[in-house]
Amino acid sequence: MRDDVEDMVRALRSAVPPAEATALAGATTRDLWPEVLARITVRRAPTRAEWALLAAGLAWLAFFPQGAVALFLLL
Amino acid sequence: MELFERFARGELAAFETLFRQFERQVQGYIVRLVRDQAVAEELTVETFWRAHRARACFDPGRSGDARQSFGGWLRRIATNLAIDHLRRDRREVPLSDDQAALPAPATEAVLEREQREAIARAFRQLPPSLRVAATLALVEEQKHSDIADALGISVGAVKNRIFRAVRLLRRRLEQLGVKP
Repeated sequence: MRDDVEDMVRALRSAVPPAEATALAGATTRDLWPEVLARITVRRAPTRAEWALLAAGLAWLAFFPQGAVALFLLL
Repeated sequence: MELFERFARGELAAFETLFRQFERQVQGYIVRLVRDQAVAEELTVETFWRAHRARACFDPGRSGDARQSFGGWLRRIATNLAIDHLRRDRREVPLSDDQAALPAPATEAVLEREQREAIARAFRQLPPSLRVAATLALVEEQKHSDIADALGISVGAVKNRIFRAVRLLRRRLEQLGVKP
């Protein structure tokens, strides 16, 4: 049984050699940092809640334009 | 230690330093699993992006060696991504046209090549979780404890997956009439 497993492993390593023994191990790599950075810094789309908050704020300003002055003074 | 704390706090410069230190290690690990350089690059980017996104979950002080802990954490993310990729990509890889069209004489070399191709194909068709465990243990000869850490399972479970992979591979090869 153990010999069977060893034969199978030997055949497997012959058919699927370790990466070190193939061209994969020596493959040159390009700089991936710009891609990682782009993924991190990409601006996400506003959520529904954020859109709703913005709409409510604009509606409030439309009804109470003097509120803009109060808001400006608050900030 | 300070570098890992700065990373966990979200400092981009610290993350870039860690990326430069661990990139080759992660990419080398992924290419062993997916055996495709372009896919390995893509999954490396995804691994680091996920690590950055989940940086608050990384506790540099949890285990003794923060470097080892960070490397293990990246390997776990990479393993999950590789398994997901293999799951999506699990399909029959046909012989290329020139190989199929060749009226090959049944020499020993040709038979050996055909046998190797059949084994490689049967191996690619294993369930990804078994294939990853078998690749790391039988092909790349990594320690069972390292594989267990990367897969987030016990050493016993790793041995079980390897055993099942070998059994399934043998069964598939018997169905194909290939005897290794």
